[in-house]
Amino acid sequence: MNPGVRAAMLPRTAIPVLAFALVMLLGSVADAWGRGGGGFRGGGGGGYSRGGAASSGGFSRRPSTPSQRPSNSGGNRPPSASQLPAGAGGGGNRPPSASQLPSGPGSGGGRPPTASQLPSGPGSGTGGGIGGPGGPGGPGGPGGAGGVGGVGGVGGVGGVGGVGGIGGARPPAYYPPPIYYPPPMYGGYYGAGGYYDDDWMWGVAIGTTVAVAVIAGDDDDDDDDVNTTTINNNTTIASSQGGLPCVPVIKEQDGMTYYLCGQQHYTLAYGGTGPIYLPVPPPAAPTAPAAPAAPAAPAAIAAPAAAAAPAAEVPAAEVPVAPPAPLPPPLTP
Amino acid sequence: MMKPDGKAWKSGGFRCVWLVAALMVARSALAAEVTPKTEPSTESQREAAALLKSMAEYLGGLKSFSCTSSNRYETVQANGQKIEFGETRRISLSRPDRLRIEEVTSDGASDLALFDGKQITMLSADDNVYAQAPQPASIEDALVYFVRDLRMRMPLAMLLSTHVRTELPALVKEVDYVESTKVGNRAAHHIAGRSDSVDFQLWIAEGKSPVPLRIVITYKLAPSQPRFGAEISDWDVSPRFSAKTFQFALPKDARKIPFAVQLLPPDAAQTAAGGEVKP
Repeated sequence: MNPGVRAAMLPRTAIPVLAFALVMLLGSVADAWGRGGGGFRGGGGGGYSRGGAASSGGFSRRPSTPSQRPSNSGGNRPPSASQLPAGAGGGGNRPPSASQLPSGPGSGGGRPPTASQLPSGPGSGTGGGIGGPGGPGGPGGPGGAGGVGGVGGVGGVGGVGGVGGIGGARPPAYYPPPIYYPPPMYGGYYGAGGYYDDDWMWGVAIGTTVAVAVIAGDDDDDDDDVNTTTINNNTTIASSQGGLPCVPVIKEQDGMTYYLCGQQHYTLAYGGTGPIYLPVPPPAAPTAPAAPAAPAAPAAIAAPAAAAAPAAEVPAAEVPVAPPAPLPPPLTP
Repeated sequence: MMKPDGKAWKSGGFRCVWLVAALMVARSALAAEVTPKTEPSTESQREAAALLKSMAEYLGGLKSFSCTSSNRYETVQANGQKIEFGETRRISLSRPDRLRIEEVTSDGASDLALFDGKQITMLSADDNVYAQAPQPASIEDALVYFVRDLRMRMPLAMLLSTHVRTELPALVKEVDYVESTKVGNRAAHHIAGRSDSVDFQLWIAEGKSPVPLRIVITYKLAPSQPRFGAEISDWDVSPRFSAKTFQFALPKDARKIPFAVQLLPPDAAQTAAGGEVKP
């Protein structure tokens, strides 16, 4: 390079350096003023800096683009149950239980598996335990009614969500926590003398985690419309039920509507962020009218019928499900 | 009770000492977490504290108001990435016992929360389902019941309660004045405060109606410290509500469903509240 040109460039490079030094010097002075007490209105008084990573206005601060939202046919619904994290990594025989679902801020799984990535096969039906890390997701592939996990039972509360499987070809899906947000604070409680705590201040439900399947159009290509085919007077098969990991069998019993995926029953309930599908124990088998003293059909004969009708997947010996519990009594003045 | 032999007693005694020491350390640690309230020591701190109090007094003293809150909040994904979601809530409040909040979430879903004085109703318009529960007598008690017992979400609930007058100032450990600025076209005081678990910033309207125009909350104890923010606009502090505002109009074919809390196992329902709900 021409020495003359180089000499002419030196002052240019020096300008930013000098400016930076000046800014640092002024910053120190301002900091000293701030510590000295008071500060100035309009000038960052009280020691508040306008700088910092979040003030850059750079790309990283922008909200998520549409492509980062859950991909679903409607384009305007939350992710479905099939997008929730899988639990019991590697087990392959247990669907996510309550304790394996996201339990709080930041605990949600990453790229959750799609329905086709859920473990298939009969479930072990164990109660919810602590969620293990999610198993690696299967290949993304086109959607479709993948294998349905077995009965997970209603698990405990507050387990750490399993890490979602590795997604296939689908775009990533993000989701808000299932029940509450803003996140709960720690150690908050309601005091007797006026609910004095930060949780209350900011209007946060305290650490409730429920195994849920958020009502949603899932990211499969199927639509969300439910077209039903009557099987009998109280059981139907839905062609699609957004949010559930399968095409459910719908049962009406005891005033409740149940959605049956494999052996797992779900019901719809109002959660903190809206309607959700909750896994529930199967309802008690309806009491059949007293039949004449006929010998019970051999199991070998009954089995084909059970295979033909999805509703018959309900195990004969079921744990009765209690009707919805009475609501907590309202506060009395 | 059987007296332990010397060896066992020694061993047990040491264990006891260690236990007591551990408890003392734990107690100290817990005590250290609660920051004692700092009395304002500077003019700007005193001014900020006064502004906060005036806002709280003003809000708590209103008979009725309506406003629109545009909320946004970060959710921390498993990979640490923070993703923002949001909602717009149209709030209509009439003390002592009526509240209506129409919400449209950032994914387009529409919901309604209605306190009609007798019932709390949640309606999901998109799914055409609703849930209902008896309402405690006042908005204040109803809000607590809604958040604590029904486990429903109600951002900035305290700003809807008359308790804001006493509880908000009591929560704040430090507060200071940042600057005089504008939110939209309205002149505002920008203050910043800290509680034990959150840092917050408030923009309070200047003038005779010191309503909050913007709020940003940082959950400093939560992983990755996500933030919640709200722009509160369209304030009307003397609204004229029609009778229908606080009546629940049951949509055609809407189906009633239980609150999720009703389906939780009893033990889970108790522990879900954190096991920290004091009597």
